[in-house]
Amino acid sequence: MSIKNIKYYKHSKISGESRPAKWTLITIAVLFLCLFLLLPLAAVFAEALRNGFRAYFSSFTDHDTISAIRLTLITATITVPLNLVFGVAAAWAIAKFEFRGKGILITLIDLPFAVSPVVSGLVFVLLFGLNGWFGPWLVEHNIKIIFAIPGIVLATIFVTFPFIARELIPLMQSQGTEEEQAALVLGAGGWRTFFKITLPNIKWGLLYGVILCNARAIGEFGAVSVVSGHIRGQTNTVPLHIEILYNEYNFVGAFAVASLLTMLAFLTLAIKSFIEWKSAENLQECSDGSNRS
Amino acid sequence: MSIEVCNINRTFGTFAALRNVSLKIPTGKLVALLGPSGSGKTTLLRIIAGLDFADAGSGPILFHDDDVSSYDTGERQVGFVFQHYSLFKHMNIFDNVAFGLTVRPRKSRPSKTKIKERVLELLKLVQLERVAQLYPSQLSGGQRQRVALVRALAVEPKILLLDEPFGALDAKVRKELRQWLRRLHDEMSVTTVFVTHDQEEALEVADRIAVLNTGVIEQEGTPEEVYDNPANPFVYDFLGNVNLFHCRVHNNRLHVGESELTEVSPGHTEHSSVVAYVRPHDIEVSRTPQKDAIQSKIVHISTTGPVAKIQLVRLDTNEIVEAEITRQHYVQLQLRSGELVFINLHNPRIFPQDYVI
Repeated sequence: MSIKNIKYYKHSKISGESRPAKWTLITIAVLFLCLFLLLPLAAVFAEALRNGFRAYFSSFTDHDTISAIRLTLITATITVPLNLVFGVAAAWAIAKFEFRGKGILITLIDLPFAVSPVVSGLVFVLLFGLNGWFGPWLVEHNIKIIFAIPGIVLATIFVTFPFIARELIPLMQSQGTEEEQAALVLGAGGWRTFFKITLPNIKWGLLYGVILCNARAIGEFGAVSVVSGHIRGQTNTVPLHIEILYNEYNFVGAFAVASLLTMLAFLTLAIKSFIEWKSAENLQECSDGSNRS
Repeated sequence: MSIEVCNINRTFGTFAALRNVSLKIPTGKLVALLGPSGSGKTTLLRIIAGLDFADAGSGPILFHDDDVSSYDTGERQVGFVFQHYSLFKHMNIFDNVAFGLTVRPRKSRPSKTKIKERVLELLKLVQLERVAQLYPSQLSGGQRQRVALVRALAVEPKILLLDEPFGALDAKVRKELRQWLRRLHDEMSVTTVFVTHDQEEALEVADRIAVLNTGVIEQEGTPEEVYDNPANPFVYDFLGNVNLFHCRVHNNRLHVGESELTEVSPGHTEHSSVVAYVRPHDIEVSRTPQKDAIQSKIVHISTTGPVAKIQLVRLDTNEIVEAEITRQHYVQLQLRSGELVFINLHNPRIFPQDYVI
């Protein structure tokens, strides 16, 4: 059969539905996409720019906004590297070694995905809050965790913990341990094997996990809301600050700050697509290679 | 450097991969660990390399009188070639080969120019100097195998261990590479142990062969020894094709059906049942009835390859017999399918009836 014929069949014969049915389905899909994804996005920017660019940019000069942005960046800067270390260590242990309790560890890593962020926040209040388990001791030693930056960081670490480990475990499992074994036989030590062999092999997956972890660390609302105490200019992160601005009917301010998070989302998606494309290319190269003999 | 393992046990859960295995490998020899899959041959190799460890209570692993059983794999200074090469995907060929030298501690590490010289020299040895800048995925299977080999040799190990080195390659490349391995071994004077399930490969290349089955070494010796004097039916069967003839002992002679085998077999009780193992090339096919011949009918003839393979069926028991004769002999005889002929058995090996393979 010639290629021309295949094309012809592809459009009319193979899929059995009639032309009107097809177009109805496509229209529904496009409308749904517009209503639930594109329209809200457009609304964010439209509301933010309602009073013009001057008003938009002046929202960012507000003292409280700047402090919220700073706090969010501090939180992400502490959270992401820590979870990077935790995630890589956990994935390395799970993927490359056999030990008792592995199943429990995997379940524990998934726990933050399973519980509501509000519960995650409450756990820390129960532990470190004024009436919590360690509350009196903390007060005695004048250490503030809840309603302060440490609490926000703790809650964010907890909520974003699975992202990197979850990304790496299947990748590392599929890669096996033979390359590491080869390095060890050749006389490389454990650390050197990790940095020269394991890490380069997982770099794209790791970057992917970091991007997702970072996006969540910046955008986390529920857990942070419980432990932050909403002290303006001190313990408000960007998402919390947006809520406050909105509740004060400062729509332009709220949406202006929200547009920052939206742009971050775009950036995340762009990097994510790039990494996916890049790692698919890597994968392609590998499978190409193994097909040759 | 000689290798000696003593009373090695290795169990995975309830599965005993190695059972009380002892083996001595003399310095400078090329030794094959031969056996079917699951026989424990790879486990033994990995234990020698330090990639796996024997159960507690196992004996020592001696490298020239030095017990290395508590050493890490890196400290044992062996070269190991993995079945699937395990080249470092993200490094080019040069860096792959140089790896073992570049990770040495500063004191014993050669200078950069020395490393470069050595790597290029090794790549030249395997005719791969042109691909030094390429990545493993850009190489063919045979090329990767050679890179894996020189990567292991770059650190100048006294012992080279290879796990099914040619298992993933096609038949022609396999053949070339194993002869090449033999030459390389002779030049480098390194004690080499390789794992294989291919008896032809082991017989052709190795100085000595250890035949493993279900975690036990069934026999160890030179290729001639194990091929000509197999210790038991398993070894006999694993090393080549075989025909089985059920016999009776009578007057210290073996009887197959109505015929009598000329060989005397002392020590067998009168009227006991035994099995004679005969290689296809030890079966003589003739037109004229000779003394003690068994009458058979030719069912199929295959004449591709250096020998003519003839499938016959015994008229007395209807059992299938395979014979191999030279092409020349085949042309002389002008055998045809369906024809009635006579077969004589030479060099039978006698094993008791109840031995199960």
